[in-house]
Amino acid sequence: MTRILAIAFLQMRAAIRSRLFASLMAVLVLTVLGLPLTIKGDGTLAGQIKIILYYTLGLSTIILGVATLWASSGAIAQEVESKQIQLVVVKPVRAFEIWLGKWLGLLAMNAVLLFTVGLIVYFLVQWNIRSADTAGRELGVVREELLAGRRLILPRDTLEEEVMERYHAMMNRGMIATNFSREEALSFIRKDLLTEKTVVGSGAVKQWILDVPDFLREAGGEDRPVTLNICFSPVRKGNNTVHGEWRIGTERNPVLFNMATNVSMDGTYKFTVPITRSLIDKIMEGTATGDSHGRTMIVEYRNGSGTDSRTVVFDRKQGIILFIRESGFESNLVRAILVVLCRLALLAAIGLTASTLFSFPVTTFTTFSLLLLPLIIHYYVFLLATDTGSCCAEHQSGIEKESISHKIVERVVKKVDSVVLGPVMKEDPVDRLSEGALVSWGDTAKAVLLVALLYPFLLGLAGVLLFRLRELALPSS
Amino acid sequence: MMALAVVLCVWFAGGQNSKLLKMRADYGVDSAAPLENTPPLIAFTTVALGGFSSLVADILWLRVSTLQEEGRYFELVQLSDWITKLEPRCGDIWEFHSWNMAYNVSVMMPDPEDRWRWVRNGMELLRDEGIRYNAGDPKIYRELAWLFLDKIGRSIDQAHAYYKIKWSEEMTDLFGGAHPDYSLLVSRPEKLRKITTEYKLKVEAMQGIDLEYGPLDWRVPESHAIYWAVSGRKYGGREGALLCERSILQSLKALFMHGRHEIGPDGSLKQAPDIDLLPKITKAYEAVLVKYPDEITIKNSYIDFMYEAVSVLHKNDRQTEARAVFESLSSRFPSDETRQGFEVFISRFIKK
Repeated sequence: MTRILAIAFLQMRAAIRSRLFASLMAVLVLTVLGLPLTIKGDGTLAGQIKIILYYTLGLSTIILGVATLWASSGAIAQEVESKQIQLVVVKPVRAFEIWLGKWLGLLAMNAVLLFTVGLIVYFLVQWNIRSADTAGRELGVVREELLAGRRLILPRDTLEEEVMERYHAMMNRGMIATNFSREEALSFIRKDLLTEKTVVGSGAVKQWILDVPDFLREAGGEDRPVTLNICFSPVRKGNNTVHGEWRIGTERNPVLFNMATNVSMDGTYKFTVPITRSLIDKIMEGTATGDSHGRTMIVEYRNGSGTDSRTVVFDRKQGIILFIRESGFESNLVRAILVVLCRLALLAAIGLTASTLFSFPVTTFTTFSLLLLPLIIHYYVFLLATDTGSCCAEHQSGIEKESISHKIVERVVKKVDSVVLGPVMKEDPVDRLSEGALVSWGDTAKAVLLVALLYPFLLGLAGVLLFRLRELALPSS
Repeated sequence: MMALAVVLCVWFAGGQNSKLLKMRADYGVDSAAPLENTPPLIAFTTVALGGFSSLVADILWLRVSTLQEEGRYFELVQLSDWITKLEPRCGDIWEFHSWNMAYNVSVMMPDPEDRWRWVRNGMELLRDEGIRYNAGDPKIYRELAWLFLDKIGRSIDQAHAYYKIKWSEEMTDLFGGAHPDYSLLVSRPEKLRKITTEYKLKVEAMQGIDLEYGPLDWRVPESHAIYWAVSGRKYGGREGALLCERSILQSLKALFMHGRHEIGPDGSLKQAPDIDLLPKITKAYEAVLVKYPDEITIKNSYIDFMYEAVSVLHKNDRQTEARAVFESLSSRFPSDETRQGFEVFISRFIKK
């Protein structure tokens, strides 16, 4: 352990001596303090706070990411080139201790820099709130919605299951033409179902089922305020009268709470329903702790009939959201920074492992290219997920169907994206923080275990192996 | 001999430069004179990025679309600013982003106060930045005029009364009332600076507009639509001027129909016709018709205005003026509706 710490200390000292640490600190402080002055928000305090959080932390992460890759790429490669490594390897230090020591050194440097950035951002946010010349309502919105860690609960999404169900039913009834491929049929069914799920016509009724987390049973109402955010808009342009009834309840008791909507709207209409402690208790009533069947909240909208109430459309992702405030801003900020630090740890591991194999310039090139690969994979998968029109174009143009090899590649890429890259790229902690969304301890623990420990461990194993195979004192070198 | 010929050719080509620049300006091929005192950031991005600036603009534009779809608007002002600055001489980009904020994003806000902020964001993008970089592009002026005329002036938006009241309050604070006292403004440099730097209005130009079309009520958005259209009509040759003339006439017509604003003690807005503007509006239509005799749209707009004028005058019990406009309409643009005389016209074709 002492040897590892000694190597880590040497790595940090090298970073300080090479002025990397000081330069990075200066750049980061300038970024964090200067960026909010140059970036325009939307004119609200909430917008200004979001800009501070998103841009300063986001840009700091990018700067630190690039610096980490650069420093880690040179950590071993440059020492090999300058023959300094020979002074280390002749001592009773094992290869894994060198790798781990250097990794820990880089991690410590990043931790210091990142937490400094976090501290400045925190004070910047507080200073902006104190100096803001805004009304109490806006300040309240910022404190309750933005400077918080709120868990977002979306309605149950059974779209894909329903798509498959309808597809099989249609197939059994012979309703799908033979010249339609499976993908084409699924795409059309999906579009139809999406319309059915989001559009509520005059006189129609729509239900959303939300799974209420079990922990709300014990929590005090004041500690964890719960709100239901509703957002919809008319399908027609211009002024639209919309009236209807909202009901909140459970399967057994569908009307625990009800309210009417009677508005004239020409754009998005949003409102928030505070879910009181007594309503939560009623929803939880009769269910035992851990019983997953009874903890459902059913939100129902009954649109008025006739021409009095127009057809409305609910956004699939933003239409109905249950917000539960689970933590304060400070702890959410700490967790977001920890997740970012985990990502930097992974970058350091990638750079160090490549550094054991190549020279410094080649390592730098390789690591930066390697970083592009997951981005391309992620983008490819994103395109596959959103590309609903291509199959129809293919159908019309009579191009041959996908080959088996193409399908295999597609499947492999999807698997790599979900299993390997998913934990790293799925959720952006800075994005969540700037939206007031919760970065949970569960997410943080997952990031620590997978991104900061498991992946670097595997990379470290490869790095140690490569380092041991490498000739460090060739006559020509 | 060859060298002499080359020198002569270069000298001759150099001599054509100023003529070519003038022709480019006349035909609207260039949007404006080269930018002077360009902010370092703009100079850097346009020069250093070169052709890549369009690529960066595209990426930022994609982000705008994504954020907008997700209902996250806080970054849009900055992103629109960057995109427009990456392509500062492309008027269409300025127009799009201004329209996007003022029309698309604003209606996503349920609160009139929030909507007004986005309408202002769109307006300020054109007024404060777009015109600065495209001073010779009449479309930018027309677009700004349209924003005042359509988004603030008309009632297409549910929060339109809020916009009008807010704008009226600002202008009352700026000018001290409906009609600025220009002689007093000149003696108040602080106020004058606010008018020119914050609202980008030139007092001399306002005076000129008042003489030509007014006196206008400067608390009313249509007056500002006229101001910006008048500012843009000297650019872009015949076509550019026609664009702006159309905006001027539309705004004048709107002023005639509901150009008198009154804010009641309960904060409600009441609009009434500004009948006194009739002679100036008629004069403006006549002048544009003389300038563009083949423009059928102008002629139709004039006929439409006369119909409206007869109706408004009749409803406001100004029968002599209503009759005079009708006479002019029936003699200049006779139709089946006008042939049967004033009384029949009123009873049949004017909405009660």
